[in-house]
Formats: sequence, C-alpha cells, structure tokens
Amino acid sequence: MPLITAGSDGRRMQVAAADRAALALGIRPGMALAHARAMVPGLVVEDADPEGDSAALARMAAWCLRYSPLTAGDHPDGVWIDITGCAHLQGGEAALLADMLERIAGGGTQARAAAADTPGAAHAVARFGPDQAAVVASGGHQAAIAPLPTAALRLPPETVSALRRLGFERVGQMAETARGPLVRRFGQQVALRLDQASGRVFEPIQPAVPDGVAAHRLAFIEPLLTAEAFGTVIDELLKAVCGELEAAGQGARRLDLLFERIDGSVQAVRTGTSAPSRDAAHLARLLRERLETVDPGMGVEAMQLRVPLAEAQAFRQAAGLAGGDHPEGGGIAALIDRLENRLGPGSVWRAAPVGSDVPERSVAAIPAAGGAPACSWPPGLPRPVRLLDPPQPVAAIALLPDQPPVAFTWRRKRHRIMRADGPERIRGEWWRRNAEVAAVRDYFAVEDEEGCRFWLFRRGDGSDPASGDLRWFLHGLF
Amino acid sequence: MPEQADIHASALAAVGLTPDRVVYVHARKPQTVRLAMEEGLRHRGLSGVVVEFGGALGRTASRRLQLAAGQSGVTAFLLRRSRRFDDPVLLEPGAAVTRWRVATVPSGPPLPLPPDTPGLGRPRWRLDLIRCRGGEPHSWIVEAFDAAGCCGLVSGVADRSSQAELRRTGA
Repeated sequence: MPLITAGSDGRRMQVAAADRAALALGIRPGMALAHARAMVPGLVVEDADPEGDSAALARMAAWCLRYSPLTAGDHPDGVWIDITGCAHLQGGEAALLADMLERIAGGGTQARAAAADTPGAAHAVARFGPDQAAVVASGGHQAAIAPLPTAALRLPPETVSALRRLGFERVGQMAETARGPLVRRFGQQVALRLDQASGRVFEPIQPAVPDGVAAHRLAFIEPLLTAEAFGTVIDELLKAVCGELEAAGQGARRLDLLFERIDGSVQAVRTGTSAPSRDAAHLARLLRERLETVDPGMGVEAMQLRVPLAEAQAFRQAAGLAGGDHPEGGGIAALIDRLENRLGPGSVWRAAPVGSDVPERSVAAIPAAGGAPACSWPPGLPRPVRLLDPPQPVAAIALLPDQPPVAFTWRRKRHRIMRADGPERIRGEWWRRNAEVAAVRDYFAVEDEEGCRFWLFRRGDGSDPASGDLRWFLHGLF
Repeated sequence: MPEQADIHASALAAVGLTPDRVVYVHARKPQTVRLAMEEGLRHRGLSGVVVEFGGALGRTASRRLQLAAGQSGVTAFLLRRSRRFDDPVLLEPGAAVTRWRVATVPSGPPLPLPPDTPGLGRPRWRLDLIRCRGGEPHSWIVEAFDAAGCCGLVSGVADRSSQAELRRTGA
C-alpha cells in the first residue's frame, strides 16, 4: 500500500514525503494532497513530523561518530561525515562506505553514500551518482559531478527549473559558462554552490555534539600554531576531562581532539585505548603522538576534547608505598595502547588456540588487551617454530609411502635426511570445505646432515588417490 | 615481534611461552620496529623483548636500545636471521653486551640397533659467544632442555654429558 506523509505549507495540505510505491505511481513531494488522493485511491496518509525527523537525523549523525569524530546532520535527509584521516581504520574509503551501508541497511534504512574531496561533490554524487556507494578519486571530483543534473548543486527548485529553461541540464555546462551572466540572472548562490563543489570555496562542517559525552573546550586569545602549545593545551583539557570521568567512575576508550582553526574548519585527531583509562599522563602521550598529523593552517583558536566512548572503570589505588612494584607508565595495557597507536590497529595481538588439527588453523590472533586465553594446545606434538604459510612445494624422494623421504630439495639446496620422526597423520576438516572431505596429510619431522630440522608433509596416504596427489611440501622449520 | 609473521604460537607454547605470556607485535617498517622495541624496553613490566630485525640496525639505534634496556632492566634479544652465512648484517657492530651465534649441529648418536632412518633425538646447537663485554669468547655445543628444564652441555664423550644450566645474559 503506497504511503505518504502530508503537512501544511500554510495555504494547503501537500505531500511532504512519499515511499517508493507512491513514487512509482507518480506522486511527488510538494504535490497537493487532494491531487495525490485523487490519483491513487486507498493512499495511506500520515502526518508529517519535521521535529521527529530532525531528531532522528541527529541520532543518525551521532551514530556515524563511529566512523569519524566529525559528523553533522544535513537537513533533511543526509549526514556529513568528514573521514579525513579515518578511512584507514576501516580498511580504506570503499570498505568504510560498504561497512556503513551494510550496517544502515541492517537497521532497515536505505542509504546511499559517496566520498569525495569536497562536501559539495560528495553531496551531489551520493544523491545523483549511478552507484549506491561511490568513492571519487582524489582530484577527480570536478569530472565526477560534471555529468550530474543541475539539481545536484543544492539549488532551490525554482532556480533549477529556470536553469533548465535556459538550456542548462548538467553541472558541467554551468561550470563552463561565464560567471557574470549566471550570477546576474540567478544571484550569488549559484556561483557559491559551484565553487563549493569544486573546492574553490571552503565549506566547513559544523560537527554535531552528541549528548552524554565527557567534553571540554578551551578557546584561546591568540591562535596557537606550535606543537608545544598544543601539548600544553592537551594537558589542561585532559585534567578537566579526566576529572569528569573520575566523577562518573568511567575510563575513556576513545578520545577525539578537535582543533578549531581560524578559517572555520575543524581538524580532528582520534585515538583509542585497549582498556578504559583516565590516566592523564598516558592519554596525553597517546594524543601527543598524533599531533604530527594535524595541519594548524593559519592558527587554531579553540581546542575541544571529547570522549565519545567511555566504559566503567573501577577505582584503584594509584600508588602505594614508595618503591612499589608498579611498572612505570601503567600496566601492560598502556604499552599495548602506545604500540597500537603508533603501528596502527591490528598490529598488536595475542595468539589464541583454536580447536583445529590443521596447523595453519590452530592459531587465531585476538586483541592483545582482551586478556589471556585459558586453554592451550595439546602438548607433546612436534610443532615447528616457523610455520610457512602457505606450505612450499619441495622435490622429495621417498622409497615407500609410510617412510620418510630420503632427501628433498628446497630453494635449490638439497637436504639429505639423516633422522626422521613420523608420520603424524592429519585429516582434512570436511565440515569446513568440500575439498577436504578425503584429504590426508602425513607429516614427518626430519633432520638433515647439518642438524637443521624441517617439518615436511605428503599430500595423500599413498593408497587412496582421493586423499591426495602424493606431492611433498615443506610446512615449517624447527 | 616477528618481522615476518611466520612464528607459530603452538611451538612457543610447547617451550613454556604460553599465550598468556606473549604479546605479538608486527611492525612493517624498520624505523617502527626500532620504535616498538624501544617502547617495549622502557616498560618495566616485561621480562624480555624479542625482536627479529632484518636490515642494518645502525650504531646509534643499537646504543639507544642498550641504554633503554639498561635503565629498565628488561632483557632485549635481537635476532638476526639471514639466508647467507656471510651476510654483512650479521657482523654489524652494535652496543649489545653479548653477541651469540647459534647454529644447528646433528643430534646425538641413535640408540643401538636403530632402523634405517633413526628417530630424532634432542636437538643440539652450537653456541658461539662472539663478543662479551668483560668476558672471553667461547663456544659450546648444547642440547635442548630435558623434562627438568635444564639445557645439557654436550661434552666430547658421548655418554658423559655434564648438566649445566645455561643462562643468556644478552642485552
């Protein structure tokens, strides 16, 4: 059943929004409600709720803070996200957009997304581009918006229709025309939108401030430029924010430091901790290390520190008697934070046992701060210290299927086998892949004449051809 | 801190480095490896930092690491692995207190009446102490630790191996 919302514009009731079924029947927002009812009998009409829409948009913008510290609602139906310096955390711009659209779709909302150099170009491509998720290559935004209709420039509908009457269908045509006559005819806004889309005029995003977040802002009399000055401000901000956190019994998991530049733009630095923390010295160190990524431009007139993600943190005595055995700079979690902050996410991990006999599947990387896994691997099995993944094919000579090879050649070097243990038979895990239903590997631990130890396996058990092709592989070095 | 992520955790667990005692760090660039190593060495809560480093370390970096280890008391193990025996990187001078060269040697004689291909004995290594501040260079042939956790010192005579615990005091 087609659904529309209707609101009054002061003179008459008109269609405010229409769902896909209603749009397909020819109903357009802005149409008189009586007209729409006449076109489609049985139309479901709900009252429009503009305040509710804005509140929902603000919630959406706050949700998008998971991707970047700078987000803002773009009335009536969009969210700006400044992903400068944040995309790598999600594995690139395309991966970020895909992840975001998947999560939004999971919530039952249809969305389109675009990433581009300028907010204007991203706005246009997201709404009028061909793809649901589009990443415009850096520097390619002019070419990307040129084929889009003039409505993509955020112009009022009457301007768009007037432009169409004059023969302007595409943004590209407008960009090529002389500015003077355009501005005389349509006002300054047309030129402004063109310049914003192309990046000639900078367009700041006014970030949304979510509720319930520990935050502190310091404004300066003179704009700041140097890293030392920023460091001092970070200390001051942290003193205030850590006090707030302590009063709430919480510790920060994520910190956003916003630099408000005098040209109106905002630069952001985001850092995270692996365990909740309100240790000002530790957090200051994390933030200072990221200062080199900030471009202060002509100067920074205010700085703001926010804690968008905080978790409960128990109170603990910070220091006992002098000379206590507390490690300097906090426990291992502080070290993990510092390393992860420097090396990027995913570079610090612990190994956790996995219940699998296939050697390359028996280890999983888990977050280092999450604590230690309880179980361990079965003891007593020979396992090499270096595991080659994938196993490297070697040329080996074996006399009988159940005997270790006599010699093998790896990296053009021939190793004569003097001693060997084996075979240890490992079967494929048929519940994972069809190809492993009959697969068998026979592992041998061998030692060559120099004492070097290798872990070799043969694909197949030697009698059933389905179990493998009897080729030899080197899987590890002891 | 493995340079290539080919370290197999279950083998480490078998020699006592169980998952709850090891934190792995993967740093891609040489300068970040140095940085991560120094960061670890300045943290008194660790018992040791093991780093595998492929390229040339440089005298200044080596000195920095030695200072960091000296201040915190955390032992640093810098593993240099090369495919070639005469790789100049292996002979690069550094500020470390000790420098060892570890090579494999064939394991001990098999039991009497072995099959055609005898089984593996305890692994043996040749340890060369190349440089030691305030000490003399020396060489040993050692055998992997037994059930009691002791390294065996292999003497020339096969059936008279003296038990001696070997401690690496490298930095």
